[in-house]
Amino acid sequence: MNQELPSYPPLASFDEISIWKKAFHSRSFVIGATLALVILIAGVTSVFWTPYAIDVLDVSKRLKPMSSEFWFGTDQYGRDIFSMLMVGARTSIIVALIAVGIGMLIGVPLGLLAAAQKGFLEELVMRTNDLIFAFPSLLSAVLITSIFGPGTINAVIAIGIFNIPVFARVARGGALSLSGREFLLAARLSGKSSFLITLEHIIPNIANLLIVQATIQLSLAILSEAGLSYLGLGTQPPMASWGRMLYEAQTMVAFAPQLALYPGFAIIFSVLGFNLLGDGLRDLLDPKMRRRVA
Amino acid sequence: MTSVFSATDLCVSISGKPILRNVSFDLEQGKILGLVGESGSGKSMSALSAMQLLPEGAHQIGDLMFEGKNLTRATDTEMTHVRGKDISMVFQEPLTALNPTRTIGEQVAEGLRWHQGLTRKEAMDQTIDVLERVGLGLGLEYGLIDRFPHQLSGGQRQRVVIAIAIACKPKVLIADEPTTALDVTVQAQILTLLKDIVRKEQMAMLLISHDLAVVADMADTVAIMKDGVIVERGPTCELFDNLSHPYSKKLFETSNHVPVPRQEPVDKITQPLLKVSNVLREYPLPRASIFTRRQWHRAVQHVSFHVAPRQSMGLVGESGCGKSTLARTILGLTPPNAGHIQFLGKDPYSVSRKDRQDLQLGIQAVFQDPYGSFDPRHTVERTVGEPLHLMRNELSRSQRKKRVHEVLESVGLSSADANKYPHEFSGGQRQRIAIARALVTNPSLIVADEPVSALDVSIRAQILDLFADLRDRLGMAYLFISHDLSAVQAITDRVIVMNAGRIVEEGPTGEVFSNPKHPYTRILVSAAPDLNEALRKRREEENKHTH
Amino acid sequence: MLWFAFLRLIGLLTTLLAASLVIFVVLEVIPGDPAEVMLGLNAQPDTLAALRAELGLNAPLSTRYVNWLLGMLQGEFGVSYTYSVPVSELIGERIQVSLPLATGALILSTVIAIPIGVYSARYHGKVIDTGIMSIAQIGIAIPNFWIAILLVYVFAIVLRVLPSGGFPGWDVSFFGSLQALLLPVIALALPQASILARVMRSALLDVLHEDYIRTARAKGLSNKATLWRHGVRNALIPVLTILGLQFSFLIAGTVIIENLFYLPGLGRLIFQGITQRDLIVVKSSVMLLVALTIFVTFLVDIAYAAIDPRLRRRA
Repeated sequence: MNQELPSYPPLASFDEISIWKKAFHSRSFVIGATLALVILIAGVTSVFWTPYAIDVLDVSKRLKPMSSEFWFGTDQYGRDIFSMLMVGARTSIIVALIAVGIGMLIGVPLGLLAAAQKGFLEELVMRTNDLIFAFPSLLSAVLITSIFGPGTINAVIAIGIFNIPVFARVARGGALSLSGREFLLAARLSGKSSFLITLEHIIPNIANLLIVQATIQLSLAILSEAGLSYLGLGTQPPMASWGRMLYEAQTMVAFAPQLALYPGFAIIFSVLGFNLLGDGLRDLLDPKMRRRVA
Repeated sequence: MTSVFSATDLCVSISGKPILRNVSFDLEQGKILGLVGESGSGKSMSALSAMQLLPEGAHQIGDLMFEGKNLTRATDTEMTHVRGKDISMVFQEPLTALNPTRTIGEQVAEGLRWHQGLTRKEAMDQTIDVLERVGLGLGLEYGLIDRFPHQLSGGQRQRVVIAIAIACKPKVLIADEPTTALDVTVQAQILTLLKDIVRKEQMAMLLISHDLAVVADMADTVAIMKDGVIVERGPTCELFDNLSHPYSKKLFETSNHVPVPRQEPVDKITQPLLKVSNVLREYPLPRASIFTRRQWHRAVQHVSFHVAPRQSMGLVGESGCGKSTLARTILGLTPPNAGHIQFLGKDPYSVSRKDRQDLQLGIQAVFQDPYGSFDPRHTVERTVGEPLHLMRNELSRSQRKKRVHEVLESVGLSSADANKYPHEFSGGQRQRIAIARALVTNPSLIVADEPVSALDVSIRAQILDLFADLRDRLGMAYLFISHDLSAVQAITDRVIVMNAGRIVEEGPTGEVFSNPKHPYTRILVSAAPDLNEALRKRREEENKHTH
Repeated sequence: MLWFAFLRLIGLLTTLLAASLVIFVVLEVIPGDPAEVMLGLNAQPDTLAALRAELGLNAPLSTRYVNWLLGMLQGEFGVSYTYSVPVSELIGERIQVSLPLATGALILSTVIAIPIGVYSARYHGKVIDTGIMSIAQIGIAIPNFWIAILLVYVFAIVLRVLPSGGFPGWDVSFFGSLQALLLPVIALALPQASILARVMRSALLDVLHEDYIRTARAKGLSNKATLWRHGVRNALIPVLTILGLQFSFLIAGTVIIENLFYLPGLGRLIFQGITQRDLIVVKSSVMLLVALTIFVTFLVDIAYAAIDPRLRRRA
């Protein structure tokens, strides 16, 4: 007789050991994690070491083919492509991590606040979200760079702003889906404040959702950074970025089409990696969301 | 009698796990076969198997004979000419069983058009007939045919689901827990409707239920199922008079179970523990337009009553009567719009934060859903010990731990369970954990909101026993809220009956149920399924026929 | 339903107003002196003063904002500083490229994605489903400008069947204009189609697990009939949300793609406006794109309510 019994999506059970065991049987997770790890290692290594310096132009070495000397060859300015890809990985990861970090740090508290405080505040937060959604990320980046000039930091801010409403929505949605749960009532009967309940019950229970969303946002941020740099609004030379490499390759596409392939593959690998990682994590952490796509 | 449909040695397994083992039954024209069992017994799978709508990955052997055809060998295309035309099904949850984006008329007409090749116009004309057959004739005048499912009441929706099933006048009707999601009074109406349809249109019906009383009232023959096997069967009265299988005996006993009555009577003269005076609680409804005034839904209207120390007070009513809202107001979770709550002489909504926390120590709650009431990420110890947050300045860590172990033992669990997570426990054990959490601050009043409604019969009996035992042992008062009259009857001294936000009747439990005064209470009491009453009526009828 | 549309319309106007304020603040208030931004740091004081007077920068901010809004309502978007033509004329010209580009991409991605998504959901778990979804997974990861470069390489440089860029204009050569838009439309549509196909599939799979699908099967409907009559229609609700979002991505995508193909569209106008520091052009064309995005969101909301009657009463 389960009259009046509301049907909730099942909460993921908390069983870390079995989750990690399952993780290694999930194809998405393993492939995604591997790709993401490769990009991460390449980026971190580039801080200490790259095969060649990327800020030295040497026309005598231009457009070399693949060889043991230059693994992926050189570009029209004689720079080692492999080294540039490594530095590009660093740029992508830093921009993506900071931009998603901005989105999470501002978006999640806003979303939780909107979920906790019905009425005016909720309305305000949600309408502001709609407003930001109305500015496509690239357009807001264009606006910001048109005033403050192009550069990595401005690209990060522009991409970060677009991440805020995404996380606010996910956090609010997650918190609202918990709102009828009886364990929250029990916590209130224990004299706990809304803040403490949010900290002890709500955040841990929506953490999975946020992690999954974060991996997806990372991949979107990498794409956005590449787009901005391609337009010349993001990372500036002499720093390398995949988008910029593509832009430079485009002018050479008739003579050296291979130049366009490497940065393209780098972008695809990293975006695919984070997307697969997100899918894998979602399967593992949140069975209800299994078939959904963000 | 003519058998219309017969299942022989039906075995179903899903991904290698056996669900049904050698299940056989016959359905006869104009007769009802009741299939009872607890959750996980395989009764729903029997229904899906009969429809050939088993989930993916199910493997099935055995025979399902209908009009000389073996349905287990029929292709899906062949089955589309049988389903809905010759064999139909009524589902448990009427809201989700209907497509939210299609009108009632479209959904009923769809089957007619599919099987009889009618035009839209012809199908709609027939749909009106069908809706009249299920007692929705009155609604038709109000444009029910063009309404969407969310605009209907639960009872109306279930009538629509039945209309869809009987639209093509099937020979076999399968009803899987058709009234479980409904209120008692609505349940009684729907059961009567189903019975009338079966008799009038001479269908053969398979009625699946967990409720022995419903089955005893409806079915001509009963089969009792456990773990995928039919353990016992027979004509209803005969079967219940001579139960032989230990499981069916146990099921019968627990369905009738009444805990040991209170040993010592309650002293009624003392100061009330909880005083609810004239409480009003309303919610704003969404505006129809900015030009109309905002409407308010009065969930609780001018409710007053007392609960004495050690008294067990029952609160009954159907869904939406305001009982859960009232419970939240009493627990200090939502302030009333008017009126007062006094607990131990103090109003929790007007005292200081410190005093309010002290009051909260004395009043705790047990909720309905044994799955939703725990944070899946917290251990049992953390969950049960959570209310001790109220005494955070007084208890040391080790005292806290000791207290948690004490209450776990007092509800029949062990202190070793403290380090486990809720998902490691069964439904009944979880409800024990919930009770332990309510007990941990040693409260003088426990508000229990539908604490046994989500439980299987045998577990329900155990939890009722636990409530009775704790009441006698620890001497706390209860406010026991339920739509289940027999549970309230079993555990309370006094009872309040609520309808549409108001108290319609109050009195000693035995008196109210044996001699209800208010018309609503009378309807409620007569609609509540009662196993012994159902069997008595059935015997009377049989005697009439034999004489 | 009408009431719902009315409330949404009010919401639309509020968001539009808020968006215009944001654009105004970013482009006119934060930089301090827009004239200085436009002319650069080495500008002569008298040229600066002249530009300030021309742009009406000496008036208080509130007056400037209101004048801008009122001007736009009358179709007056100001005069471009670099082109010395009215911005409205520029926009009117450029939108003839951008609108066909964005809508073409939206239509193409929908036409590709919906059938693929439905097909994949129907054969859920089968090899064909896994194959399609793996391709879609990769498709999502590919940046549209990379596809564009490859398309240019293959069709313009190697095969020489399509132009690598440029736009003849509709009145000069209709067919040539269509040809010029073909590669850009494909480049924009493919990644979006991958996303949409995945959303369609997962939305349909979600719906197919609903109880009313079982009811439809119990009525006797075949698998296929159930899929189309009860599944696809209800699955369109989440798909619509994504379509709305995609329009905003497509708008942003036009900035890159128009640049890559040298298409004289709005995106390229904005980009050139920025590099030439022509804030007047930037301000009005960004406003137009944002307004377009908001309007599409509004349309999606209305379509929502048309599909799902439960939403009609909620304000």
